[in-house]
Amino acid sequence: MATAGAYTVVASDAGGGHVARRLGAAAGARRWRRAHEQQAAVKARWRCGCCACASDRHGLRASGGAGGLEQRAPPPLRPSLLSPSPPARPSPPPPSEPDHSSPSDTISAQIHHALTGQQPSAHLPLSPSASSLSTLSAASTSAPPIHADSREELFRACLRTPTVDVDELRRLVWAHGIPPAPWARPLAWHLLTAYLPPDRLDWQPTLAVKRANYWSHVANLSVDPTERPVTGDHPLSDAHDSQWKQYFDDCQLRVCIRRDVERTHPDLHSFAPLRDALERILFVYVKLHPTLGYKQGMNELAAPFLLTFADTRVKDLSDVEADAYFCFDSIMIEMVSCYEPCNSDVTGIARQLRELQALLRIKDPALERHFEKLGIDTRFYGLRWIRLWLMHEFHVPDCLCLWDSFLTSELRLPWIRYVCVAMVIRIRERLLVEDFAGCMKLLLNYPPCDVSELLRIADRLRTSNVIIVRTARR
Amino acid sequence: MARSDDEYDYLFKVVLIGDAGVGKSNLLSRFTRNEFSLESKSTIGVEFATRSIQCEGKIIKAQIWDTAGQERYRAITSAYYRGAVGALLVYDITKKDSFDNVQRWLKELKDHADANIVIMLVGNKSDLQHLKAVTTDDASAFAESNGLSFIETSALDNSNVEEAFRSILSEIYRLGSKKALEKGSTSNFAPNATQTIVINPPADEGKTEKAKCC
Repeated sequence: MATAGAYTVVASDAGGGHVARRLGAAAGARRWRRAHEQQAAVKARWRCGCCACASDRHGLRASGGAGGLEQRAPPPLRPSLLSPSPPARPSPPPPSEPDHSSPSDTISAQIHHALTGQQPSAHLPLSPSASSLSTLSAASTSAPPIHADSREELFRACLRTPTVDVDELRRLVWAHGIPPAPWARPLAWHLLTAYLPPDRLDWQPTLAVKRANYWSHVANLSVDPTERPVTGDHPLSDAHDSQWKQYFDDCQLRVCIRRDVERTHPDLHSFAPLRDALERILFVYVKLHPTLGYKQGMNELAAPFLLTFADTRVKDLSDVEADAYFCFDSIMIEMVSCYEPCNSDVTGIARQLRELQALLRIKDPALERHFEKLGIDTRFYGLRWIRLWLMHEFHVPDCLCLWDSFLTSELRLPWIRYVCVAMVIRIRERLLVEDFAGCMKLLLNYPPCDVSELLRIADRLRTSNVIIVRTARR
Repeated sequence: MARSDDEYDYLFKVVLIGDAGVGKSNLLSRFTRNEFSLESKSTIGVEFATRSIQCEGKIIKAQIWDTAGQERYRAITSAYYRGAVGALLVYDITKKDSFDNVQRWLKELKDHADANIVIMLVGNKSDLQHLKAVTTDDASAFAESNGLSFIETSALDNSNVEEAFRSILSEIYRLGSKKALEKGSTSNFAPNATQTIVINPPADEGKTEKAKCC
């Protein structure tokens, strides 16, 4: 394990300081798992009472400030730091309150909870990290943690305005994480993926249109000539426009998708009822993007949205499915390149992996040389990390915390590369004494860690000219 | 540092290839950890594990690379095949398509792997005899006509898994011995090993004195 002083950092801050706080990630994961297993047993409700991901996550400052890292919690919230608006942000009632009449409507419930605070907030005392050991993630210990309720209040304030300042929302998520209240993450993700427009008046109409749009795709993209035979068409037809041909191709596609859907979060009972929804989402996506086709890994990128959105007070899953589709579609705009065929080193995932290698070379030349000597290539470990946004590397609650930070960036891949480099650097001491097989096993079975610490290291690597220059053994 | 249990005489890289869902990952986990899971995730990129076995008094360390069934992009797969001396080409005995695609996988190996790679055709999921869609005779005849060895396995009930890996490793060893493998080379993949023979070092290695089996 990397321990205090285990490696030396040469840093000249290019952008400054950093407010960091951590959450009880491991405890959060256990709570989450327990909550979800109970949920599966009951199978009656779609929301766990206290957000499973109650782990009170990292806090990362976006930019600016004065050098150095502060450990654990930021000082009691100073809105002026977070927002260009006055500290006591005026919170006038919105001109038109959304209709809360339908309790089954996810977004109505979310809006209601967000604005009225009537949802009992899952109050989790923040537990400052005891494991921020390395220089990179070190910070002061003096600042008291922000109370979960305060964070929730900040979120409410941000979301209460008639036009949500999405940049401020990004800053809030970045600095303090998403509050544990069940409404918070779904709503934040809707806004961060631009599925919901900033203007709150447009929320309901947008949702109505998009959800209807999704379900019309579901209906229209499936052909079944057994029910409505077409004159002149027949099951053996190979014609391009043959419905029978399309029908058989679709059957094959569904088999392909289903095989991976069955293998998506197989250990998570709460995901079982979401499998049909995931299959439809992937089917619609592939039908609307025929040149890309279905690629393994897409299932892992769509599943977190379903998991997150279904984790609210919802009775009707159809809205959850439609919402998840559009958010998945939104992140795929950037991720398509990582799934497209690449037969050269300068495009697609191969390019991402080269850039990852280059970043590692800059940030930790000794480790990169060690890898080069052993023949370890980013294609061996980075491909899965990048394509899946680390979904295979950590427990789901930790992954969702990582995704919070990924989604705050408009371009996610550059930030994800920093997180990947942080992962490697975090275990560099172990890697440096391992042979090829030992390194591969470590990288492909990444040891459990505090993801907020990872994010702190990644942020430190990004915002300053940090270079790991030598190893100081214990 | 190199641990004592990492001492070995020969280091062989073996890749597991075949269509998605034929059970490659479970063959790997059954052989290296004696584990099987019905709830395994799809492989993205590559998985990796090692196990050492005894063969004719020598310790052979197998480095097994389990590749994603859908990964066909040359820029990626070339790294997985590089240096491989053996390939288990796996199909699912209950899925005719996966057997039909064996020809494509052979071409993939021909295009990207070393010309002398030892290939074994593996019909997995033999526990599902009632769903069998590829007969043993057909597969055996295909293997024979293509110069491959052949075995049917079940990672679930652990039948023939050990035999499949042992058989291909022995074959690689025998072929290597015939070519009078030079002992004492070091491997790009195992810098700590002093008793390693690399059969096919990476093409870009550029060093001399490397033993080659072929």
